[in-house]
Amino acid sequence: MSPLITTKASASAQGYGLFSASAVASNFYSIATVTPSGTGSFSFSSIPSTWTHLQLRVISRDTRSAATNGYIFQFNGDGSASYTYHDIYGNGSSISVDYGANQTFGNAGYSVSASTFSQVFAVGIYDFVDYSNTNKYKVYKQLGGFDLNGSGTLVFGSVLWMNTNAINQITILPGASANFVSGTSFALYGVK
Amino acid sequence: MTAGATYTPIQSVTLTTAVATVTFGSGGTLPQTYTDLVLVCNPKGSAGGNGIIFNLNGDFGSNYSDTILRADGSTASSARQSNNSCGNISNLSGLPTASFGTYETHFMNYFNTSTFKNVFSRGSNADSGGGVDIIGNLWRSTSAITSILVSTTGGNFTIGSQFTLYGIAAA
Repeated sequence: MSPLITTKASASAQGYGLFSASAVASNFYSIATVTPSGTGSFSFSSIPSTWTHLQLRVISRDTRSAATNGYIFQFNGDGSASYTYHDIYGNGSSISVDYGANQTFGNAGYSVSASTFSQVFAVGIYDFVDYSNTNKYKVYKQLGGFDLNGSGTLVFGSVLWMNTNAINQITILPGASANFVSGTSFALYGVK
Repeated sequence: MTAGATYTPIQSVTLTTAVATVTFGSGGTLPQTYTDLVLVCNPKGSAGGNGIIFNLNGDFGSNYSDTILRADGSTASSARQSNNSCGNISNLSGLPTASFGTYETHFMNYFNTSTFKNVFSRGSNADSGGGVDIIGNLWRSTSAITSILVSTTGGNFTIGSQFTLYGIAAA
């Protein structure tokens, strides 16, 4: 990928206001975006095997009263005990690690409580690697968390889905009786 | 599902002279046509022990906070800064002086005018004594991000340091 504009800085690196509306060839494609509001679980369905990798970029809030909450993934409607995860967390003062085998879902990131904090969302960036290869189990890694100016948690983790099927559906489940709220966005991209 | 090409390079800066700051969208000219921005930095510093920070829209008020997860090769730890006057691209990993560091910083939903802004960064400093870190920044402003000032907390970014800003547009 070649930069659209490449500038050479001299004494000052400021003042490069040369933005162009034209695009260049990219290997990163927007596939679909879901903005759930007042809804619980939803899916990206009929995901084509066109790409090499997928990336899901998320900002999220939900209706639960606890300050922060998790959501989870399932692939192709599979709720069997075929997911394994490793995570490392940092909460601003200490770190922790977590591992789970034979889970019925893939761990994902956080939502900030809309009833507790205003204007703040949690972030999640997920990379689903070689998602359509039918010769290997699937792995995704996650980077996510939130900061609330005095509290917050970050997570870096990976999840193994012990299944060789191509991922053609990603279901997002926010947890029991929870709904995502306005402003939440799940944007799915394909990487060639 | 339809798909559109994105992850568009907006601006790239390769330093031919050492400077302490690099600005994207000088004068508030960042395009508002994307969903997220991603800043990829490959800098080296002229003096050790310094971090890489950012300020948005010329805001130097105490409107930034962050949570940090980091490791230096022997210890992993977590830290926090509240009511800070800048955001952090790198904390423990810092700005290397022997090698060029790698930093990828995501400005999520950057022109939404009803939400505070999340800026997530992950970085590495391969120098002896360096490390890796992940930083979740919050900028408590509902303003659209129209400019990004990247600075080092001491010394300069050296010649050859590179900074590239990309835009990602959701369908």
